[in-house]
Amino acid sequence: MHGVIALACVAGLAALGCATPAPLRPAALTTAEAAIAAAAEAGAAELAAEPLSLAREKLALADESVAKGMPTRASRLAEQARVDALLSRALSEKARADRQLAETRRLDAKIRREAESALEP
Amino acid sequence: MSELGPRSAAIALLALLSFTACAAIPDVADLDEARATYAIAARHPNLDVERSADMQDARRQLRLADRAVAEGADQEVIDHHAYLAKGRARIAQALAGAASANAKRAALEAENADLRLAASSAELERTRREAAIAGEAARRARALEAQQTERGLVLTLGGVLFAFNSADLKIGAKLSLARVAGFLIALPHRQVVIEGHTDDVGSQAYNLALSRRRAESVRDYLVESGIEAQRIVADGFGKRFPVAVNDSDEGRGRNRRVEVVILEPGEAASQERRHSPK
Repeated sequence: MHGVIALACVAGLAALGCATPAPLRPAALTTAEAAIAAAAEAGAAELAAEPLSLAREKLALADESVAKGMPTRASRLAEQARVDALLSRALSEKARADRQLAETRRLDAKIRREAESALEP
Repeated sequence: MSELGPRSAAIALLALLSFTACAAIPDVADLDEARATYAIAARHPNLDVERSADMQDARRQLRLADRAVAEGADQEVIDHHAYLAKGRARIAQALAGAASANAKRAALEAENADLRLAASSAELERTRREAAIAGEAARRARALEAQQTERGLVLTLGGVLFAFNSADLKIGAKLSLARVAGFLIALPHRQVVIEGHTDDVGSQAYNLALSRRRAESVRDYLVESGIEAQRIVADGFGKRFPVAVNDSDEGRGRNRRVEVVILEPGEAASQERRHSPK
């Protein structure tokens, strides 16, 4: 009788196991996701593509780790993904600022030439 | 063991590992690289190391990595903190670089605005001066009774410029020519043609030579007065182009003349003269 109950229990647990929801996704993954979206929004795909794709790869690995039941590993990967995303955003800002400065310098040279000829006696 | 803190445990473990010499000595290459990256970022002139949140976090991650090393934590943990430290330092450096580029751009734009202002006021001043010169030229043209024709502005010097049969300028002629010279100085970019004309007394050959010498006398006087010689072409036409009928003293007097033609801007005095009889 005991054996039967035990068996039933095991069967019941197995059934429950199938219905068990996916392992909880650590918050770090959501944060990383948001940072990636913000970087993409800031034009990182064009201006700082390398760290952005690194961030995406790491977030995918983090999700795999969650699925494999390795939450600590998942969190670390997500933290790294977030920093990669923040870096790609910062590098985008730098690239944009550098471009604008180069354009201003080009204009400056033109303005100086024009001003020089205007200021000639 | 459970009574000891994790730190003591780590120290004990480290001691054990060093004794056994089979220890997995932690690889701190990534950590060293992170520290170097932090040091480079910290030298950026636009970066306040103490106040930058990214640099603060980089320092925190470096400390965590150091602790992980000290505690003999997994290599993965050491590398993780080193990675975050390096990333944070690079972020701080990139943001400082962006701020520096933006500051330079703003300074340049302000300078450009000043330059534009200076250039446009110089332009304004030049326009004002040119208008003044044009006004002065018009005033002098009126004084000389200049006539605007299709050849340009024609100043006719008539009457008693020369003695009879002579190419020497009379005193009165020199006074008129001084005014012409002043007028030409006011129009520095215009070329000038000086044409000598006579009445019909005498042969054409004689009149041609005389009119040429008279035109040259006028030219020489203007050059002495400071007009560049290359602006002036002088020539004589004898009696070919009268402005009045030669049947009276009055008519012949009007035909004995020197015309100073101030060509339109851009026209060259050396070109073939487009003299047309009136």
